[in-house]
Amino acid sequence: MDVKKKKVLNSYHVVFLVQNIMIGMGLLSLNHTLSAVGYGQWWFPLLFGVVANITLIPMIWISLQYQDDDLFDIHEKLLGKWIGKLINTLLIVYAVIIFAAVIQKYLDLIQVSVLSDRTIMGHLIIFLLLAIFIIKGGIKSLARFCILTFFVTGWMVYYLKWGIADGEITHLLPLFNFNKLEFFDAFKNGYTAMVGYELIMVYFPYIIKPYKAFKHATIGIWNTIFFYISVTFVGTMYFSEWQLEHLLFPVLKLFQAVDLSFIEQIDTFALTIWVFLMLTTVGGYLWMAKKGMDSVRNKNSQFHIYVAAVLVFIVINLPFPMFLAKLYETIFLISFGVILWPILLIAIHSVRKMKKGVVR
Amino acid sequence: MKIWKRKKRIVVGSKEKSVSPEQTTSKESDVEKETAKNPSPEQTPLKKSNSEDATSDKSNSEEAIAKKSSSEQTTSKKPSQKQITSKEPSSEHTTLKLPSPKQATLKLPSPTRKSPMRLTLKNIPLESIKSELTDIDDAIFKEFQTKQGLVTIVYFSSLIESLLLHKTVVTPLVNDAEKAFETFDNIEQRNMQVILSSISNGDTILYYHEKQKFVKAKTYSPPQRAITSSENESTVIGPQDAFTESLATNLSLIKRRIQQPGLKNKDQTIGKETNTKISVLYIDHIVNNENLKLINERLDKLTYEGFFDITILKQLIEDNPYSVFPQFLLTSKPDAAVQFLLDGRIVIAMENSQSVLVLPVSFFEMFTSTEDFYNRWTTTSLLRTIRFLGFFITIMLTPLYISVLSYHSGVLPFELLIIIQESRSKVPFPPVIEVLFIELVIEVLREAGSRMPTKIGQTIGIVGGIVIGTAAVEAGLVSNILIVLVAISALLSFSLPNFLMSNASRVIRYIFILAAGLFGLLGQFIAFAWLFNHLLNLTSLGSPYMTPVIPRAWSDMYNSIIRFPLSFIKKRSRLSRSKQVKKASK
Amino acid sequence: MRILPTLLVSTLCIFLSGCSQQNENPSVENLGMISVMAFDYIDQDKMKMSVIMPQPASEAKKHTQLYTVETDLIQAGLVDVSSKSDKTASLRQLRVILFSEEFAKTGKMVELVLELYRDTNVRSNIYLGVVKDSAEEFLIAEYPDKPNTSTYINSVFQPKQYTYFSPFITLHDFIYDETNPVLTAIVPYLSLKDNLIHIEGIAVFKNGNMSHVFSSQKGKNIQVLRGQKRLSILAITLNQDASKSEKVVLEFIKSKVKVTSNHNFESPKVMISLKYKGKLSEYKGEKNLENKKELATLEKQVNKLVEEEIRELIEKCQELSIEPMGLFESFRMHYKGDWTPEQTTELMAKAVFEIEVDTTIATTGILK
Repeated sequence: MDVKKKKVLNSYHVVFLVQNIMIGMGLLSLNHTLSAVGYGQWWFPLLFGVVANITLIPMIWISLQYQDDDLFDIHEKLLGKWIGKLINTLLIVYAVIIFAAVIQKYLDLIQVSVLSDRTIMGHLIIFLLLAIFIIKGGIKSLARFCILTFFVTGWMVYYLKWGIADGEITHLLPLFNFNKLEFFDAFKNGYTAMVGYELIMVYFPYIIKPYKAFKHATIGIWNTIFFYISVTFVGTMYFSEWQLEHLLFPVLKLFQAVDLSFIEQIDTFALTIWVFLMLTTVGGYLWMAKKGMDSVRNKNSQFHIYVAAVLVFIVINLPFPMFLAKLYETIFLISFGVILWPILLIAIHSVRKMKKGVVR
Repeated sequence: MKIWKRKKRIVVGSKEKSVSPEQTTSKESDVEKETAKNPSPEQTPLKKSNSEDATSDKSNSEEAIAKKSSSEQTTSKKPSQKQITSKEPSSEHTTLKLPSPKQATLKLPSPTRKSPMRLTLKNIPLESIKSELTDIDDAIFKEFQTKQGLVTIVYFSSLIESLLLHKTVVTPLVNDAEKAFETFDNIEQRNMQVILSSISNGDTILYYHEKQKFVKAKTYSPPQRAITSSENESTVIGPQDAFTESLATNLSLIKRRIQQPGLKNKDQTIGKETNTKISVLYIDHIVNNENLKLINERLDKLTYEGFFDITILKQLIEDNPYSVFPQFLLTSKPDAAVQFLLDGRIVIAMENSQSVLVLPVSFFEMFTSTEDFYNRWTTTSLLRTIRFLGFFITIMLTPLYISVLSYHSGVLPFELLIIIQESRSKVPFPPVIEVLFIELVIEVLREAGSRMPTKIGQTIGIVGGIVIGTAAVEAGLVSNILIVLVAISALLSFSLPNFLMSNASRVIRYIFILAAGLFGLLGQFIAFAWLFNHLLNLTSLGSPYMTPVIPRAWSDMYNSIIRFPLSFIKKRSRLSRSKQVKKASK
Repeated sequence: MRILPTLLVSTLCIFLSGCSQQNENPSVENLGMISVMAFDYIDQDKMKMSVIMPQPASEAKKHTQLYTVETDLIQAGLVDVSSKSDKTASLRQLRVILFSEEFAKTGKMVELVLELYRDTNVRSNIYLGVVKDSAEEFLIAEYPDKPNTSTYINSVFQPKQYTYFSPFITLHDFIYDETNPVLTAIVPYLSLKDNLIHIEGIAVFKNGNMSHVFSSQKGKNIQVLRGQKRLSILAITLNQDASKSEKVVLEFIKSKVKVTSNHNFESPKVMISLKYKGKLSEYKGEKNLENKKELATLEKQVNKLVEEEIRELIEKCQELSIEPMGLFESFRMHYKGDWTPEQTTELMAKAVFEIEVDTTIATTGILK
């Protein structure tokens, strides 16, 4: 039903898709990745929000020029069939590697802290199957899952309360206690947590009201920023600078401060519920890979989901751990490129338009 | 077989040429004689099975006249026989109508199917009906000499109460046959199929020999049970009457609650062999036409053999037949059906089925009961919260026991840890096996309890309570903490008002138990994600199952986990996509 | 019809792998759940690690199992404990860690605590304590009227109304204090008295080594200055020298501290303003408390005494060049650049303190 109809995403879907694809592993280590600026980190998400909003403009603009085409189709239209297909292939690789990077990071963390005596193979297979299961229902299925994820995981913000009670509000000052290098470092590392909203270029043709998409995506981004800023805010209060720098996943320690009479170590629950957030993040990229394959092979096929998942499985099981670590690090830098890519597309678009005008 | 077919054709040819109907009758009976003389191998099993029921040992090669006399004999015997048969009219009915499987697969032109087509042009002789009803021993032919000449009445004695027959048919006929002829329904004479089906539907057919015309009287009056209160959906307050197995009764129960012509009920017959009557009810100015179209399409496509309960129909027309979750609601309470009708839903009732089908419904409505509207809104809100959370607790509680004990012992508070360690110290199995064992025992208890007669059923409670509760713990087979948890989750699964949903919760609990055994809490939440994704992708008659969560409709929130006071609920639910969204609520 | 094969494969997977004995984790009753750890100093490389775990079997005579091993690393020690107790020793239920005074003074404590902080199985809200003499003694000791040593030690460390003077430092707090440049770490100091655990005071650390023990009365003041909002009783004896000594006991105290500074690094000045609000529960003296005036004088007297106590505490800290109160946070708030512990010490030596105490006695009870 929904799969066949093209325009399926209403406003709520867009908001939550943008938000939940962004929130993922990045949030767990956000305090750490921003630690270069020390206590000044707590307002960084605001900056990220502004930057994300600005970079969103070219994405929406170029998508509005080609309302019925996703990023892959735009490539083929703008850059010609072959260059377009080449870039699309690269994008597929990009999606697959981000998928692998995110899932590997998460499952490693699970292995370290929750299921210490298990290899990740079992979870990996089940996790991939579930991701496939979700994506098989199409983008709308993912969007609905995102909405539910929001309700299933959003309440965890409440547990930051204990961090506030134990923390020192005075840590919020001074605001600008860092130099340029530190700022750049924190920005580079921290902005990886924002990656995910560029997918709007892929699911844009499915949005029912494309002219309102910018507004809805903005709401989504600022929802994310709310969660990010609450974590950095509480983290800044609760931790010393040394802890921010040395703890890889400070959010988990924040959850450990929770003191309830009937259950302890809330971080175990938090980390396992995080699987919802991971599924939405990963689902977005799986869907992107699927769409990419559809466009490269000029064929719509559910089979591509399986292919993408198998590719991810292979990447994770590559026997070069050093290479993989390097790859995962660089892929997020590449994602900055993807976020900025539409600017180039706009340039090409306007050049072609001008040329056409000349010919006429 | 071939001979038989050919001869039929010859008959057709001769019949068309023939002028007088009398001639046709004799010829037809001749044919019957011939076919009887050369019985096809496929026909024999049917006849054999019938002859078992028959009192006289009729041979297959008997002549038609002999048959007539024998049927007259049975008529005289009838009263004694009727007492036996009338207890289970439907069962005998089905045995008589069921063809042998071979016949069905070969698609032999059975006489009942073919002959009306041959006889479409001319009047049907009584004789041919008689021959069609051969070997149906409760088929009764009675002749009355009236002013209008000879009148024969034909009926199935097992479907008709004799008193009613006497009142509605015999008395008017004897008093004033002419008037009776006018008052009874006229039958499309040329179609023998109609006559036969109305006989098997329990009508009485009157044949006026002089006029050579058939009329029928509605005399269907099978034995019925009284309207009792619902056992599955018992309520404390509110109306206690529940649907029975009779479609007419059920319709009257609904119609007396909505007294307006807007309530439509469209009758339909489904079931290739059983010819079961169903009725699709809706309120014309409220219901969504698309829904109606969709359900009619699905009903038209049905080719299922026989329906004994509406649950079979439900499984056949559900959106996702593979799912664990019921996508349509079953209710045996007329007030619930009416409540849904007023919301713009469609209700399907079926003959021989003591519950009706409501569609479309949402996941959440599986946790509501009509009593919710009779209680104060505060009480209802509390109860609904308990039910809704109960569903999730019942699927998560024992799996949580497994994952905490096997993988995440850190989450236990210290005092609880000591208690659990102490109770587990004697248990020789890993937690998964322990939980599976005790859950299966509970399942068995539940199943045994429901199969047993009520009087013995109490024993099950004692056996379960003492043997499982005390002895198993003392023997060290299970920990007593687990007994408490299992009992809680079993109780919670019973707190769901919808029996099918409670069954679903039982099934998916095992998925969660296995997931927890495999991957602990992670497995549980992965299973949870699976469950949610499954629920999100489910539809009920094309509408999303998870309404009102997704897609959200704020107006639906007034009647969700918290039921607001009635005046707040100003709109019909988004799910039913009603023509009139607003409803009178003041 | 992809559902069927998927279902089949997954069921097979579950039944083939999930329930096999090999994969089976030891479940909770087969784990030695260590509840309290105690470390004693042997030499620079070795330490004595004692652990207790509850004995779950109801037939056992003792409800607590004690194991002591000599080791250089925690994990190695755990392996030893496991082999001794024939249960897998696990730190997931660790609640309290005790260190002997000697251990704390040699500076190995920080290292060890960091090691535990790194372990994901160890929660960060377990309590730390420094112990007079031998830490092992605490675990060996019989507590005759307590059924279970683990439960007892655990409950001693739960914050209660009458033990608010003790800081109840958790693993996280200790690391936080230790790595925070404006603070020096504190840990409660305990001793064994008449077969009962007694919280004597607060041990203050300097550069990772324990340097001084404050009494519980001073400990209370440290807590107040650190910003603790609720206090246990405040028992004060006024006019100690005079013959008419008065005794005041305040209960259910809410305290509020505000530390401001002049932000001047050359001549630093710190203003401390303290506000107490409590219920007078016991009074021995001659004042008529019904009289507002006399009550006000009593309040003033209390103010003065508290101020003196705090000044004494700060002077002692200046002398030891430690800063467990975090008074210079307001300097750090407006400082650009990395703050170092040396700056704190420097400021501590230079700073002038202005202390202002304001006590409000809310009610005086129902007796005249």
